[in-house]
Amino acid sequence: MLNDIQDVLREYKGDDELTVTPETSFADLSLDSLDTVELVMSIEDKFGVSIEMNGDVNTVGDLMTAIEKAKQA
Amino acid sequence: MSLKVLSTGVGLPQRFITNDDLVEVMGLDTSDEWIYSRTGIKGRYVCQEETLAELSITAARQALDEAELTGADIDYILCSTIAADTKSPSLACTVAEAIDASCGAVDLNGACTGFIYDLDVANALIATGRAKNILIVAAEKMSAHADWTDRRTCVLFGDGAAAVVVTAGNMIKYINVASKPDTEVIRIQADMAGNNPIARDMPAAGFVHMDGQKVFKYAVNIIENEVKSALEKTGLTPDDIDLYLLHQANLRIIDFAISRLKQPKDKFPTNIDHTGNTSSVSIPLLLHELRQAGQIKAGQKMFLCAFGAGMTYGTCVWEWE
Repeated sequence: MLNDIQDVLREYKGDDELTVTPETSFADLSLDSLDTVELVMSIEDKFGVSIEMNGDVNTVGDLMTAIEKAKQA
Repeated sequence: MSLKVLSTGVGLPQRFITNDDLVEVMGLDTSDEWIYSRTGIKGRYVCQEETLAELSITAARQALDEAELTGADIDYILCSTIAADTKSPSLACTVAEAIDASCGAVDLNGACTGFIYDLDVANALIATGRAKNILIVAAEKMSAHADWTDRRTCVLFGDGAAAVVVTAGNMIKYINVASKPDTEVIRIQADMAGNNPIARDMPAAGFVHMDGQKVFKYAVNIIENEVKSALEKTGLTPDDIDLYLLHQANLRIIDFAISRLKQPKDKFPTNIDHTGNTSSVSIPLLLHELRQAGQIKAGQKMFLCAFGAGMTYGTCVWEWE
């Protein structure tokens, strides 16, 4: 899952060398709140899930947790 | 039988506030670069002494003049606004008085979707033979609801009014208004306090509250889903649409929707750079500007889509006559 998210982020940022960990925050990647929504919507398409936006998706790890939760819903 | 648009008009405040003005004149801790990169907005018209009624009457008279009609020719007046100058009478009655009309006159509050709601009602009134000529006026004074100490939200909004006169025709191929009830995502608390001695602790008027992330996601999903739904029902393809007139809430919503719809960017005209988000005024204001620029021609198919508090949304596909 981390690699899939990294792929989406690489495409979004236009940076093929970008490496992320669960601890990487979107702020670290200079992504603002609306960038985060665009990212989440791209992730939704990739994983076929619907992720609730509650302002608590701030890091790659948060996004992984949200995807797991959405998969189980 | 549906409707066709005969004419359009606008009423804008005199004062145009640039992003730099917000910093230099209004003392906000922000910058043109910050605002423009996040919203696509460079400036907006903001009321000083102008009332919403004055802007509405200016827009209405302009549309009536172009249609070569008077108030006596109008069978119904529909206004779209979230807050007229007076709770009673309605803005529509104030407009009726100014143009010497004596027809039905009523305000509808569909938030940013209000113009599409008005179009839907006008379409039904014309289809049933209840009215022939209808004046629609969308008018909003969002500056009165913005918290001017909150640099994240006050920079988004602009004021104005836009009118259209519609009459019997065959423009509308599809129209749909709906809601996905969620009353917390965008909210403006009305003044419930008053001075009733037995109704204490009721809330006073509040500023516009908006969950930007939820609005963004809702809007993009609505645009995508409604394009699919409207085009399925009309037998059209995305390529058949000449212009997509979307609610001008934030340029980034429009840009992201374009990327997902995979249509050419020049099919999505915008004016948010100089209007800001004018709520239900945005689509008729954009339509007026496009007409003024000679960009609207007979036979063009257009997809109109708005979304707003409620959460409401509305879509229309029309072929210009």
